[in-house]
Amino acid sequence: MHKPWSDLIPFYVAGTLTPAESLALERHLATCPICQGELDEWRVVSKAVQAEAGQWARGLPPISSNILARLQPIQPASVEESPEQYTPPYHHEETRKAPAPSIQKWQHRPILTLAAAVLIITILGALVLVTFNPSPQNSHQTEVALVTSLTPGIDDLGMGSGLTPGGFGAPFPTQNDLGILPVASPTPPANQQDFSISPTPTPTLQPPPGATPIAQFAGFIGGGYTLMTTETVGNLASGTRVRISHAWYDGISWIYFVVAPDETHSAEVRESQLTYASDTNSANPTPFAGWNAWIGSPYVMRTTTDIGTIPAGSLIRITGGHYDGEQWIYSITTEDQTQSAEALESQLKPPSDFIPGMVTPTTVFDSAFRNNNLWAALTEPVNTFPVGTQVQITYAYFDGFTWIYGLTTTDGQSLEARETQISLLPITSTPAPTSIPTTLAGTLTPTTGQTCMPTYYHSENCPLPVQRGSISAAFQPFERGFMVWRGDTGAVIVLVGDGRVLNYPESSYIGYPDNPVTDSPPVGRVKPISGFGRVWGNVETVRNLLGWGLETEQGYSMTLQYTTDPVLTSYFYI
Amino acid sequence: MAQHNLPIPSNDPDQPLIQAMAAGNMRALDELYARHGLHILSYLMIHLGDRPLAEEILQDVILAAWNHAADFRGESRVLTWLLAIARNRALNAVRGRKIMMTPLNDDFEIASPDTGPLEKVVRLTEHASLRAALNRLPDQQREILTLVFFHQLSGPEIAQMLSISEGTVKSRLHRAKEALRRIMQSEGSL
Repeated sequence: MHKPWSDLIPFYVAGTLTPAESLALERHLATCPICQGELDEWRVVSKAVQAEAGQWARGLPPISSNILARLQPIQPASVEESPEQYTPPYHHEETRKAPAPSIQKWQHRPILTLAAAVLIITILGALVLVTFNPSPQNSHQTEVALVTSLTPGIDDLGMGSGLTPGGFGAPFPTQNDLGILPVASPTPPANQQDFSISPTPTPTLQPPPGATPIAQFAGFIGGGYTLMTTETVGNLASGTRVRISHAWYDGISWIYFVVAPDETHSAEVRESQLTYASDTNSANPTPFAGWNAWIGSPYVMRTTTDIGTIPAGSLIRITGGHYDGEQWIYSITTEDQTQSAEALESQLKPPSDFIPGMVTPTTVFDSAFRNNNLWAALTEPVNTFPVGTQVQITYAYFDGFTWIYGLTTTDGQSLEARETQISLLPITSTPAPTSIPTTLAGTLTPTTGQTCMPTYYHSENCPLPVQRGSISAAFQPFERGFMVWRGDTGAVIVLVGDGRVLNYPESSYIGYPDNPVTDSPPVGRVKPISGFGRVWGNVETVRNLLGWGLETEQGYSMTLQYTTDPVLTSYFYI
Repeated sequence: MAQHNLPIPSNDPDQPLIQAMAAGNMRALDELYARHGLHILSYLMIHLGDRPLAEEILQDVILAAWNHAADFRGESRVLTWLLAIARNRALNAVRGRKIMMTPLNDDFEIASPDTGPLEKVVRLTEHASLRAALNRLPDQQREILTLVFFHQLSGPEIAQMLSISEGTVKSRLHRAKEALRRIMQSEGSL
């Protein structure tokens, strides 16, 4: 009696039933423990089959020259597009749609990976963990401002507002805004549905979104002077015939290192800056990088052979990759970050549960980890954290099945959870960690009373001597917060009494004039000068948030608490 | 041959590639190869078990796809068509090497001793035993499992590709699962 249902189950697991069949089976499954048992079995078999078959789906060889030579040219008849004009529907032009900046000089730039981007964005995220004391006189022996990372405040220097609690619609700084080269977008092709979690990961039949696009001129790498520049690039005039020495993909487009026939002039050009010479009319595509999806991933891949001093079986991450005209070569780094090497595709293997060919889906919470004002809550218990635990997303990666998010709770604890285990909280206002005072009025008292050695601070976390550093810094109290300057980075950090923290890298304010505010301060108040004055005087929002200074700025030795956390690089103590 | 209730694959994103190939567009071939080359390669390994040979046959498949693009009538998905080409080429290659395929009786009724869930084993061994057992299956059974779970062909598509009835597809699937169970039982994994 279960036979018809039983027959459907493997195809249900594979995701190849029609919607009506799936629905009917699901209704039956809800009442049939026998079929549920079969379902579990087929899921297990499915995973094993995918893993087994997937091991052979690697390292696609190029189409052999013999075969290419045997391809019979067919004269276009009814098809209007000429071969050179044809663009496949899933061609990766979209990836290159954004205007790519011209490159004027040789500067090998490593591929900025998703993880790196996340890391940098996260470092610029805001999280204040414990209270801080407004009294500058006690700055060496007082409470602690334990700041892990900071909100990018550079918006206020001409890049849109990131300050208004409710202003989430405002453009958040892009990687470009932050001076970071963007990675290839993980956005899938328009016809692909948004990622939804499936009990059984399914191999894709499409090129992964965000995959490295085909290099238009890959067939010319190492070839003769068969191409020419379309515009002046460095020393190469527009129209110069060139050969391609080597090439790589930088997350925006393919970049070619080209050499002029005199062999003395060379330049680094983007794909858009090259064209075929008049007597050249074909190209061979660069094959997809087999491990493209893992570029920038955490330390989850392993080496299959000894590579230099890196032994086989080492856990590594791929930091970048390039195609040398014959094969993909990946830059790898060991887990302890002490060794790096270049590896071939065959010398690496992904996690055992990786499904080759699987598309890295768009993250459901993509905007959340790009916008550190958003908070989420656990929808089911994770480790010891109960349902409802409020978290912020600090990093994310795709493990081959679902996106996994690195989360930080309101009290600074870290955990990882799958996409299915969190949901975004309604956007109301910027939630501040509970340990942050809502106002700075009056005198703050230490919240824990803990005494740290020897003349340090009261806080929940004393600086640990082995991880402690000391830098020169400056500090100035204001009516409604503080400004701090870090001597090591030059950044000005604005700590607002309501818990918001804004970061102004030195590069964002160094070009601004000295404090242009001409109003005289009220009695008992001061107008900030120097770097503080530049930020305060040129950024109206900061002025409004902080009010006038209470005292002049003063230098002090800032204690840093370095961490081994790849996301939270250091805390600092006021 | 069995009648197959196949939906018309009007939304097959690969069809424009085949049309372009038929018009002589080599870039379309490149794109098709990039999309499906690894799938075909993996499929060929089931029948050939020899990577260099599989890569060689893959080239033949691509050449055949190019030469016969104009003949493709859109009665199946392009991937199914490519896999069917690959299957023919692989079987020819196997015959050429005088390697016998494991004969199986598709109409054999399965006796299913329900002795223990596979799931239990997998949790304990993280697929190792099961993957080893997969490799001991006859080619036909590995093939059907792979077509279902890796290449994600539907029952009717598989029936069409292998020129068997849908009923045979289903019985072959169940037989494969039972064979896995038996192998694992014999090895003490269950």
